[in-house]
Amino acid sequence: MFAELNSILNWSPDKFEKGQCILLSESKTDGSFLIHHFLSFFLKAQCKVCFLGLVQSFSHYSTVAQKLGINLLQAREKGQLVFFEGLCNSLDMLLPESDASDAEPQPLGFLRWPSTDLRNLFDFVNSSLSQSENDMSRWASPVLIIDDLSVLLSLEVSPTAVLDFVHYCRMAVCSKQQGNMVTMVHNEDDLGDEDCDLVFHALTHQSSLILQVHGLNTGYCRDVHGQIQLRWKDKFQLKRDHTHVFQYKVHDKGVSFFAPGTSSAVL
Amino acid sequence: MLREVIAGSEGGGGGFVLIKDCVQCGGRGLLKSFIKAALLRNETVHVFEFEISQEELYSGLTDGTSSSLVFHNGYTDPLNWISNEKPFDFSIQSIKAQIDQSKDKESEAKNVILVLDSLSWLLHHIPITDVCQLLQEPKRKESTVKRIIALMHSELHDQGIVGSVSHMANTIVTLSPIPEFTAVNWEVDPYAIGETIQRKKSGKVTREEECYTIQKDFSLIIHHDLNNRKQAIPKTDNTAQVDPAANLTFNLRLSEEERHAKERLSLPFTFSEKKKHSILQPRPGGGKIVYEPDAQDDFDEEDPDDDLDV
Repeated sequence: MFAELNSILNWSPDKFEKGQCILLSESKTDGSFLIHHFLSFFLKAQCKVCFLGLVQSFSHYSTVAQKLGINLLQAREKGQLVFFEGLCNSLDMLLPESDASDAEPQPLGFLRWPSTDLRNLFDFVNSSLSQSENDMSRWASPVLIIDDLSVLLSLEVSPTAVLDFVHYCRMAVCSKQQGNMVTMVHNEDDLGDEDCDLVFHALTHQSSLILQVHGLNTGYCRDVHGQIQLRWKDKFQLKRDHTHVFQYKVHDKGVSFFAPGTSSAVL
Repeated sequence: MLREVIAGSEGGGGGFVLIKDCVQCGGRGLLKSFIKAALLRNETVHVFEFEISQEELYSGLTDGTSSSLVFHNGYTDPLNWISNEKPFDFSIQSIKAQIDQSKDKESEAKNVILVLDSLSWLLHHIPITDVCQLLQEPKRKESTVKRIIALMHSELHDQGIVGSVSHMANTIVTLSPIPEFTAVNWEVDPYAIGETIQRKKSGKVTREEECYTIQKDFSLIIHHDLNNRKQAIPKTDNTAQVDPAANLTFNLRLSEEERHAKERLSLPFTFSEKKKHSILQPRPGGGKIVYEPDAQDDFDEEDPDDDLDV
């Protein structure tokens, strides 16, 4: 986890807000450093984490997590981390080795029958995070991290099905168990992708904390990798949103944040 | 005007009220303000909730003991993914059936306020034709629904759908964020700007824009002096007029005689009355053209150039 981001959010592994739905969005740049941050943060906070990794393999996340001081393999063996490897599972779905697998409902079942919804995937999430008596004493609140939802839209899942899936996850994780949920979406304004826009706007309405990562309008820069806007929404919609904008640079083992225009290369 | 709409004093407190919010300013606070006002008037309120939990909705509104507020839980399991019991049926017939259960058997008066949170969720799951049928309920004589209040997220739908639903509404409240240049010396921090458009039965349409805040007890505060608070652009009319003809090495000014001579000069092609008269009046013995067509000339009055293909 990145200490500077923790201090901006005013969070620490001992003290963070529960029942939150956090939305991450990336536009014209790679915002995956936020996913790595939240994964390592919640593992350090002793939460039970269900991670839907649809974009990269387990070893990728494991390598990055090691730089941040977390051992994903160990967390998985302890039962603290339930890692769903989307890439391997999708291959098994499309090229099944035996017919026996047809009997059980598969989390990525929508790949073979495009018209169905994401109910199986939700069942997987629900069963992973439903806390038994044993779990409740060992781990703090459950956390669901999804990387990322736009992949589902690319796989011909309808936006309504994606929103229904997120609805159920939010209900099961945030409302019922006071856990946290972190989702990543792409948000390219100028592409005119209506499905992505619909999902992004709907999630913005539902989320309490939104972190939007943009690439710089002027293009790639060696010293400033992009700009991040953090928006805190009032739970009851009685007060205006509170926003902060920073620019950032990603290093090998951390990310530095600074006010726009105050990069160390400029000053 | 927003206060009167919430109080239900406009248009008999009936019809369909649509709240259109946006990403920057949510409309749920305003929706709860409507619910709170209806509860204070002891009206029966049926809330069909699809987006937040019951605890979140009740928070600050009621302690759950009020019998006037009937909560229909469309949030926990609307699509029957969790349990194998009877799913929450959000079809239009089911909604109507659930409302009819609380019909006032003694009187035939309409007494139910129907709150939909949110209409966007319904529009994504039910065809728009069915939704529009539901929205017509207050107009039907045999229906128990007096008023429908619905929250819609305008970015989540096509312009066509937003337009169709807006067209059915008697009152539309459109929320937009406070402009950033507005001065910040407020006693109570304003939340958003609400543009209220009301269509009365007579056909008259009234429109008003108000800056409002919803307090923790869901009462409404209108900031009347929004226009005064906008930062005034300083005016620059105090500077003296600069004389362009001063401080030159050549003379641009006219003496009195030169000014008179200039005014007396008649410009070319500007005809005086006398000159016009002499040109226009026909002189005696002036040229006169007499035309006598030959035998070969076929002079057609209606087609002098002989080029019409008639």
